[in-house]
Amino acid sequence: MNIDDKSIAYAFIANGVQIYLSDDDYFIASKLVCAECGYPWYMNLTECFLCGEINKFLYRCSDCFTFQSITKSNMKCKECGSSNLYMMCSNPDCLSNKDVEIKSRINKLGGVFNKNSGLLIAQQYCINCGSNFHEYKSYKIAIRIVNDEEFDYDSLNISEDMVSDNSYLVIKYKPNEVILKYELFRIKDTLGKKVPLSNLKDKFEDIVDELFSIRLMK
Amino acid sequence: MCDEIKFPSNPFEDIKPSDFNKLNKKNVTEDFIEENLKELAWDVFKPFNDTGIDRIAIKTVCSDGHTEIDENLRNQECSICGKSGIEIIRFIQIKTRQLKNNVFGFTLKSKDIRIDPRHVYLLYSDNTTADKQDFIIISVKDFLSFFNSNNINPFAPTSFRKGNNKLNSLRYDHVNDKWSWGSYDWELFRNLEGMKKIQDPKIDLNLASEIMATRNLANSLLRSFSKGQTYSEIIETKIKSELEKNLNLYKNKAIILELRRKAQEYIELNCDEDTLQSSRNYFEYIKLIDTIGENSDSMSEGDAQ
Repeated sequence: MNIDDKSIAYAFIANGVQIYLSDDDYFIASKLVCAECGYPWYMNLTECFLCGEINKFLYRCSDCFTFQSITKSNMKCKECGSSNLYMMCSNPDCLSNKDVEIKSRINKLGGVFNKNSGLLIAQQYCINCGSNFHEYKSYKIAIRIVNDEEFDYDSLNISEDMVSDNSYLVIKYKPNEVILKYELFRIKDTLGKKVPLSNLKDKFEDIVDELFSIRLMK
Repeated sequence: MCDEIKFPSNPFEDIKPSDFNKLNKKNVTEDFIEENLKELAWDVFKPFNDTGIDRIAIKTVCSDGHTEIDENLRNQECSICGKSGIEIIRFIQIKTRQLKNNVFGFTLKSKDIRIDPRHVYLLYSDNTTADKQDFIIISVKDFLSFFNSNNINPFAPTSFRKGNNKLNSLRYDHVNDKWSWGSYDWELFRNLEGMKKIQDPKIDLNLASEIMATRNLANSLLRSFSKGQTYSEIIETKIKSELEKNLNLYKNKAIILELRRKAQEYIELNCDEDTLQSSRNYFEYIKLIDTIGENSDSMSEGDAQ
């Protein structure tokens, strides 16, 4: 992988995108997202199996009900000194908080969000829109550096093999040592053409947002 | 054409796959798989970071399924029907194991159950015999569908959500040279047969409906609960009822969003700023390991807090 591709690969990663390398001079940028709104989907994030509330990674004292960080404590409540700290669901209406028998049993196992309870599960509902559906969004990405405000596709030496509906070109516009901008093109739209750079972005994250767009809930 | 292809075959002539021990075999086994997929004309991509998908494989095939198992229709039309090809993509999660008492034992966690049907499990038996290796290749949809159709649910026990639910039903029968799950034949997922199934473009052509079908399968299996030795029968009954109620309720997306909004509001009312910041830091850490993998030394769990 050449240094320019590697630099862009790291920029994708810094923006939450996974990179997969080929033997050729392009790579795949991929992300697991909500199938309805495009918001990132985190399989390492856990939810309460009972009510769907997100794991907030907090302890709660069952005596004085204070929340506290799961690491700053020495397993004693910072308010009342009690040792009854549990990784409880933060939804007060959750069955694990409302049903006395269930609450007591779960707390003996460390709380809903303690692994021993067996009552936490990887993310099932979108954080942004509440959808139950996720999918992989993936694009083939070729990187080229351009010094002029126009490029000729035929001079870019893009392998025919990488061209498909999902292939994109990231142009790094670098006319001098000071300026660094980016523009994204769907490769099929540029085939055989001379293309002006008319929508340059100052920040790489704008390129990522263009590829992995999100319909944010109000 | 299939009958002429040896798959998998060892691409590394200087070493036997069975000669690698547990400590150093991840790289070589994944390379072994990659080279074998390339032999079937897939374009294969390896992860920059170790994040759970071990390889991505891409191929262009005829939308009517005319493409041979070792053919790639890239930039060509189908020689049978003249249609141009469509690009299919598979996200491959690899589990390599040695047989123990003829059992291929492996663990799946809830984070491994994706509902995008292009997600594929490739179970690599690297010493079916010293000279024979096998791939069991199965899409997540077929995997869930198998359990659903046969009234088996390995996802209901608490051990699945604890992350230590070892699946020990996949077996190899040396006498008859056959793979099975319990008493069910799994030859249809073995080697070239498995590869044929995942080359089916219907998944890609009908992606939205296939995702919905996979989610329905996942919900019927994952939103199930068996008490094991951890909980009482009374608790089991209450939890099952709650799961069923919420699964129906949350078909209305606004309800789960409102529940989470209220819980967040409750947390904010009842936490000091340091505690809230700790919670936010942890969330950032989770986002990070989804992208760069858990083994990264750039940040540890402790840093998040």
